[in-house]
Amino acid sequence: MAKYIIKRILWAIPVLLGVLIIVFTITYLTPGDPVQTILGNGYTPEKYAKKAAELGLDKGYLAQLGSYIWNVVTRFDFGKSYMTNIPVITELTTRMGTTFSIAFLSIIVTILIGIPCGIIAAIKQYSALDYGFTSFALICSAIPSFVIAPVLLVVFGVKLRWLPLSGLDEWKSYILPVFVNALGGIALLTRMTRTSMLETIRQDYIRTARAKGLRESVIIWKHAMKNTMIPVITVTGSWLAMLMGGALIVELIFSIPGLGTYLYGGISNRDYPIINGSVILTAFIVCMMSIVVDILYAVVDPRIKAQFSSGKKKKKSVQAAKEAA
Amino acid sequence: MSLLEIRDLTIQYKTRKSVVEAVNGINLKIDEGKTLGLVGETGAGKTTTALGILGLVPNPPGVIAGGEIYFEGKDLLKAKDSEIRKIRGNKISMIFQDPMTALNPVIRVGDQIAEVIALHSGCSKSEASAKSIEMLELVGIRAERSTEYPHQFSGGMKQRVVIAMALACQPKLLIADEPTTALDVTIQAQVLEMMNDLKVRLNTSMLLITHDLGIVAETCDDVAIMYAGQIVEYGTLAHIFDNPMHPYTIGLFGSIPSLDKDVDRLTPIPGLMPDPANLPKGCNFCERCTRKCDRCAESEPEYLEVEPGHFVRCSNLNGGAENV
Repeated sequence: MAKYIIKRILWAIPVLLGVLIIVFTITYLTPGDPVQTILGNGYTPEKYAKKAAELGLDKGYLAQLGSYIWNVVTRFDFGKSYMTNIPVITELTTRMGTTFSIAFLSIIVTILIGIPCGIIAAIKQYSALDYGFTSFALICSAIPSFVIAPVLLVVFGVKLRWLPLSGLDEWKSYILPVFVNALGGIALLTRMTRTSMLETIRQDYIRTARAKGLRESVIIWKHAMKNTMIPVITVTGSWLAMLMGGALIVELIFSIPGLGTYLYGGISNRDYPIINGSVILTAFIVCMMSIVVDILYAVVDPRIKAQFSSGKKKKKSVQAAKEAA
Repeated sequence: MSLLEIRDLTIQYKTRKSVVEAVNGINLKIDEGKTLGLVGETGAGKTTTALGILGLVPNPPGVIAGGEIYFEGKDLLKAKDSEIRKIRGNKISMIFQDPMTALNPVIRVGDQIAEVIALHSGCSKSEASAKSIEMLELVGIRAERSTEYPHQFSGGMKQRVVIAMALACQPKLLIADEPTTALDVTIQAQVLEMMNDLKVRLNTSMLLITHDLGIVAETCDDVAIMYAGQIVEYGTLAHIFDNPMHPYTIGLFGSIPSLDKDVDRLTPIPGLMPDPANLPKGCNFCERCTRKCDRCAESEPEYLEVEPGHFVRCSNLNGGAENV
């Protein structure tokens, strides 16, 4: 198991390096001149050349990429913002917590609402509750967050005045952003869990469990739950990347000082270090989350775990089997 | 009264479009320590009958439309859910057809056996797992394998685990639903031998569902031949094997090879079983029967006792083979 975890973590390295190179290349190739943006109107060629040299923008692509990777890998140095001259890493570390807490809360809310809704819908298939949850899920997955967010803002922030409109100053200000961000996931998990549970409770081993005389609640929790979760976890894994992207958009709508607003500012100002740094950090978070998901996967399903059990253990068990024989 | 007595049991699967008459008024009896073989082709309603006894007919669409199932003098169909749960896995347990899917893939096999022991005997977890290891050893699986998962076992081994699980609480009645169908012949023999052995040791009655007459000959005391949801012939092993009366039973024997007779071709029963959602008016077997007469298509045959304990459902028993 440890080997499996280490393997997964090591795999994240080339992924992140790939992200870094791609993002850097894209910003490099993007039309528009950051030096011009910084200096504004009325600059002399000397001033321009001096600024470009200062930012390292006068060198070739490979040299720029090389020094960027070197700085990131050796010193976690993502450069300084062209606009504010503040090191990107300082901003990233302060803002990361905000984004991460929204993303994390969204995941928790999604799981706490989506999975129980799916289970109830499956157990009480074709009941009013089932139809209610399923249609709610369908509606939620059909409405994008940038539509639902302003609607909720108008209703709860402007009309009812129950919740703050923007910022992240009190616990109440978390409610709307987290809810909006979680909505798509809730819809997805409800539908996935329902389908998966319906599939599971028709399996022969559930009939075996019934034939043992177990109570229905034990059958659902002990026998069906883990098996239901296997495909749900798979879907959750791929949904996490979407969730991070959603978190960035939600931050913009609710003016939350997180990675999203930072990245957005960077994009509008052609502040390349900010763009690169934010994207790489987001990719890092997504990587970490998917590692957690993969580990969870192995915990839930012994068949997956068996694929990654270390060679030593296998040899040992084979030896034990031989000795016994 | 017998240990298990089924009277006029009718089970249907109701869909919006049709009613599938899976089991149509069957009567069965199993005495203590005896084995009844329930024989019939696929779709005859054998498994549905077994599930009916345990109250496990999937609902919807399955409905027990009528009849009585007396177990130890008590009608299971009228019993409360909680009472039935106390009987399931404890006094009546079932070995399912397909060992590949009958075990939960994410729970260790030892725990799956210990679960049923802990549930019904009320003993502690450690006692239950000790007992589960005992059960595994009883069916010939080493103790240290109890912490393994089903995917680490072969098909035959899985079936042993399923059998260990079914026998864990020393049931009065064991329902074995084609326990060997999914296994290859050598493993079949081992499993059957083991089941027979355990049955004698624990004095368990057994309802053995199969379509293999060879297995019936080896293990059963009584035999019921089932066709399209009805028992068409019922009797002791000797009745059925030495003096089969129903054309379907005779047809079944005609379609298995024999060691003592030298024949070039086996004689299969022509045709297919009628659609259980649309059963014929008269005898269900009429279409395929070699000695059908006018009465067969018109009225349902009576269930006659042709000799003590030997019942046959046929209108033209003495008709011979005039129409062949």
